[in-house]
Amino acid sequence: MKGIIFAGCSFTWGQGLYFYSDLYDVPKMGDSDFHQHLLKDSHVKFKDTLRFPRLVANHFNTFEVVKKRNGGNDNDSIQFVNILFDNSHSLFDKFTYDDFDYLIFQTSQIVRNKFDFEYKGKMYSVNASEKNLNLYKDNDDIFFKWLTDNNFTYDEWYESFKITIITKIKNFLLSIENRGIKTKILLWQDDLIKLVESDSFLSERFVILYHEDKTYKCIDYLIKFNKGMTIGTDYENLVDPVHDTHPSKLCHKIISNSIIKNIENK
Amino acid sequence: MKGLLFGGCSFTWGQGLYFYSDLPNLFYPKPYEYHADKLTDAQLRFKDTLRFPRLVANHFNTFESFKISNGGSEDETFDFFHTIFNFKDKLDTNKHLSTERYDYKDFDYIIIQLSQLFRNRFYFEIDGHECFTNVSPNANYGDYKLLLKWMEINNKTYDDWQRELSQAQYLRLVKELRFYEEKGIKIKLLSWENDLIPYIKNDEFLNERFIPLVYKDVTYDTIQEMQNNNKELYIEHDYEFFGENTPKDHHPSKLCHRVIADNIIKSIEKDIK
Repeated sequence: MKGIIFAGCSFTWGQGLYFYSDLYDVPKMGDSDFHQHLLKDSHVKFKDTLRFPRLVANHFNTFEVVKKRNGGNDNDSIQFVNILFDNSHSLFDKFTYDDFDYLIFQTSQIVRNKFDFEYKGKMYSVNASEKNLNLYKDNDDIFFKWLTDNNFTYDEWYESFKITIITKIKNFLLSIENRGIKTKILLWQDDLIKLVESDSFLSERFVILYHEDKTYKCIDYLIKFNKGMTIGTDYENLVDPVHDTHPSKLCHKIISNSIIKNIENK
Repeated sequence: MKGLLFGGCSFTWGQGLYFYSDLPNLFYPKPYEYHADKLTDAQLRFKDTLRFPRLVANHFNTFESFKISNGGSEDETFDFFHTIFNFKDKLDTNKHLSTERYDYKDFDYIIIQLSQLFRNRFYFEIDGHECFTNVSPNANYGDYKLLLKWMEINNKTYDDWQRELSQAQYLRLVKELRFYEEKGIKIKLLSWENDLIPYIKNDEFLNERFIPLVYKDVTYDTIQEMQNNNKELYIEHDYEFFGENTPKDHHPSKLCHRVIADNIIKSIEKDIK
């Protein structure tokens, strides 16, 4: 098999997996106080060995490509993949479409994607996930005024925004498939399940998660219905774990096995 | 286990392993030629997955570190180690070797694959000037004429040169390895060629850390000896994978990397037990 691209957020990046190492100086950073610059090369390289991209690549005796920077949203993931094939970015490794057999796209939280809107002749951008943290407060006020002016409730807007994002992802995956790379879609949260299942292109590429004879349609469900699926709750393998809601070592293993199964069955 | 740090030349780097990929644009150089500019990022990443450092690291569920540039000698191996441990605030220093930076405590093991002895700098004096070469007097490239001149002036034979170089490299090896062991990193040693084998076998410290290679129930002191007795361990003789038209590359085959990895794993596991 040729290479495999993995696009996603901190779940694909492997945040927190360094806690499973024997390294002496892993900073005790949880969800709320993560700083990538505090991680050493040893921490980063160790967590790479446990994340599902490496596990899948190892299974197929090939290499994986994952973005170096942690976190991000679906738009960032699309941009990351596009940059891989853009020779004008001299700082990054360069690839051709022929270098890869698969792209595995892990969706992030929908609301992390920026929403651009025009209000009274001026363009604004809002990140609705951060709305709850009271960041960008000024823009949020304007966003809610925009919703009112356009006769949208927040929920109505959210439903339409989901369709916008999944359509963008689908079109992106189609463009990648047209270049000869097969694609898979893996969901973190449940809000896109119906949209993915109701679309023949996406549903054929949908990675269902398998664990102990049960199936799960998103990583969130796998985490919710099983013990020890996050780093912060993996008491079996970690002593006094920090508050970290990212997938545990076992969770990464389950995700990788499910991707492998999906690829091998198709 | 903490990380595994590897030192070595093109044998550790994994030269030629990209020929085992399905990737496009593979360039097949003439025998003993290497064109770094013809390798793509995808091919480089692919060969990393098959070389013995990754195989050993995967076995122990940890990470490996090795230098970026292909080839080299023990001179470069120890420069690489020095770089990753000492230039934390100077990421531009020796960028061709590594941009990674570590503490000694990040590693449990250093595994060094010795390369060809003559690739290391041999220092001598001619007319009061200190010179060095890193070629054999039998070579017809590089500064070999300078070395021949020194030999002529000082009435030295090829054996004298080899003995002096071996002695210097042996002493340096012991010094460097003791340094890293004092820092808490255990050492393993394997060799491509046999020049330093008598020194290693006669030195308790080195011999204890030396990994003889076992393949098909026969034990070999060097990768070269193992390859010569089992041609499938050369890429150019891996007919089982490539068919009759093999890449003309004398580097370890995919199987050879597996054999080397298994021997290293066995040696480390013996320590752990």
